[in-house]
Amino acid sequence: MSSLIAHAVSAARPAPDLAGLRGLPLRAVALEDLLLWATAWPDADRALTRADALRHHEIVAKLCLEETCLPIRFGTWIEGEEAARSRLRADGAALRAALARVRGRRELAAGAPTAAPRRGGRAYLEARRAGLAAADARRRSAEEAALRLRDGLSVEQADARHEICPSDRVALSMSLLVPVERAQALKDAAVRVASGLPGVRAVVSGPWPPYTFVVGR
Amino acid sequence: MTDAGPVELTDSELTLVDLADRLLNRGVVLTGEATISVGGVDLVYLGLNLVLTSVETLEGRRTGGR
Repeated sequence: MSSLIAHAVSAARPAPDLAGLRGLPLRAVALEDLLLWATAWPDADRALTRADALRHHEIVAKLCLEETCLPIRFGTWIEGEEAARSRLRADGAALRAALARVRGRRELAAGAPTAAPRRGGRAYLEARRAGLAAADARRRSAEEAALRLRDGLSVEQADARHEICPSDRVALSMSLLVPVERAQALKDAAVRVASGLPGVRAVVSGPWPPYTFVVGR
Repeated sequence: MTDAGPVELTDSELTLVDLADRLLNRGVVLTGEATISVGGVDLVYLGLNLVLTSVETLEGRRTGGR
């Protein structure tokens, strides 16, 4: 019995001509109206690589072009098709609700880097001395940027999520759930808003599959 | 000691961070005994919110997790 490495859940069968990771077969495990898409993995060695992560994203993106899909977290292993059906049965209500939420929608991302001083050197010592004041200013700028992006695109609060300073290299990580037919126009609008943000340099990307909006919060 | 100045992610690096964050920290997490394993490091998901770092996880576990 092959293990499965899961990629996405859909409610209908898209018709992509797709292979799984590393050219392995892509399987669709069905339970009632749900399909779990996974690579059939024959080996005991489960050392996934960066290339596998990028291929997982390609598979998810292509499935989402064809049909409403929920991306599954990369690296999710399931021990065979019966176990996959068991997971679909256990999570069925939540999965169907999530599919309804993201149907016809895509995710835009906006990120802003922060200037993290190198360890050592005058800039690092100055930053340490500036300390809390600099960090607080960074947070305020990032929060303002998030509000301007959300309001500038007229996105509902429930369809916008953001984190301020999730790491020392990132000041803002934001996701916006938008209708697919308006995704490019809204992305263009986000780029215009981003270009005028004070104190941050925001980068807009997407449309992505709806990674951030597959669960409620 | 040299003054190397601040280091800011480029646009492409930031987009990669965004992608890595989505792959490793977001998406559906199936309940029950689904194992999340990246780079050979087994992490058993038991209904808890398992938060992984993003690019650091991809890079660090790829090189150190086998």
